[in-house]
Amino acid sequence: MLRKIGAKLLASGVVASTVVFMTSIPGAIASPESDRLAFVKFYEERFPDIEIAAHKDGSYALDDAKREQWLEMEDFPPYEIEVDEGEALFATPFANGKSYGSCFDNEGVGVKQNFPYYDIERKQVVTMELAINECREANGETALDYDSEEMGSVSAYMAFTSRGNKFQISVPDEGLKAYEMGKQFYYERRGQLDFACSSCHVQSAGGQLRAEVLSAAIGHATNWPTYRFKWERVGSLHKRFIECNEQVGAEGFAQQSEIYRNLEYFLTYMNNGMELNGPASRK
Amino acid sequence: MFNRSQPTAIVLPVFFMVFLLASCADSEETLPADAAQESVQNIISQAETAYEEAKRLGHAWTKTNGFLQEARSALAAGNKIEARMAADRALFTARASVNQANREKDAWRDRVLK
Repeated sequence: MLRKIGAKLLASGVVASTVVFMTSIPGAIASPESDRLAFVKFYEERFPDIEIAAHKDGSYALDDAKREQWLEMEDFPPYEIEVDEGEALFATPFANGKSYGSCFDNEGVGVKQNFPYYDIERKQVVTMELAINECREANGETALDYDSEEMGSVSAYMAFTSRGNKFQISVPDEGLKAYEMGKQFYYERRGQLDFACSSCHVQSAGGQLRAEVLSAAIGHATNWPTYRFKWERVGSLHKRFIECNEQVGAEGFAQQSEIYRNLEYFLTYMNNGMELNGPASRK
Repeated sequence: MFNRSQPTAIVLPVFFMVFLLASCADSEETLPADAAQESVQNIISQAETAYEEAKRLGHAWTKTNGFLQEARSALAAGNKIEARMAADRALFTARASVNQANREKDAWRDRVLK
C-alpha cells in the first residue's frame, strides 16, 4: 500500500515538475496549431478593421493609397511574361520524354498549397522549388540555379495554377523539430541591427520604415514567387529571406538551405487556411 | 594671468604630457616592423576564429568578412595602421555576433506569440 502511494506521489511529482519545467520555458510547449491561433489572434487585435484573409496582400492591405497604386499596376501584371514562359517550360518534355507534371500530384497543376511538406523518410522539409529540381534530376536533367529565370518562371506558373487554393500544411510529429527550428529562426535577433523577423513583422507590423509600411507576418507566404520592382523580375521567398537578413546586417543563407526551408515551413504553417495569390507584385 | 617671464611653467608640463601619452600609446608605428606585423596578424587570426564560430552558430554579420578582407589587404600592402583598425573592427563585430548567438539561444522564446 505504502509502496503504491509512494509510486503515485513520485509519479505526480514527476508530472508536476515536468509541467513546471515546460511552462517555465515560454513557447516550449506550444503546438503548431496553438502558434497559428496565437498569430491570428494577435493580428485580429492589432488590425481590428482588417480581415485576416486580406493580409495576403501584405502592406497593401494596410495602406489604402498604396493599395490603389498597386491595383493599378496589377492591371498589367509585370509577372505575366514569367507565367507564360513557365507554362511553356512546364509543358516542354525532358530529354527522356517526361515533363515536370510527371513528378507531381494532379500533373503539377494547383498543388502549391501543399508545399512545403515534411518528408518523413528523408527527414527534411521539401519546398516546391526543391521538388522542381529533384524532378529534373530524377529525369536526367541538371538542377536549376534557384535564382535563375527558369526556376522563377516554372514556379510562377505553378503558383499561378494554385491561385485561390488554401494552404493545407501539416506538421507530423517527425517534422516538429524542423518546424521548431524555423520558428526559432523567425524569433531570433540577428545581424548588426539586432533584429528578428518578428521585430518588423510582428512587433512593428503596421508601422513605417522610412516610406514603407511594415506588413504583417500573417499572409507572408501566400504570394510567392513575386515580381519585385527592385529586382526587376520574379524571385523566390528565399531570395527575400536573404535580402531581409542582409538588411539587418546578418549574413544570409543559400536559397533552399535547410534553415530557410525550415523557416518557410514555420511561416507557411502560420498561413494555413489563407488563399494563395502568387505570383504577385511588390515594390 | 599668463606670466610672459616664465613661459616654461606651462609649456614644459604640456610637452611632458604629450611625450608621456605618445610613449604609452599602443601604436603600430612605435613597434618594430616585425612585431607590428605579428600583432596585427594575431588580431586577424582571432577575428577569423570568432567569425568562423559565428558562422557555425548561424549568426555571422555582413560587416565582419569585409573588415577581415580590408585588414588582410592593408597588411599585405604594408599599411599597418589601417590593417590594425580593420582587424580591430573585424574582431569586435565577430565577437559581438558570437555573443548575440549565445544570448539568442533562449531569448527568442520570450518573443513567441502566445
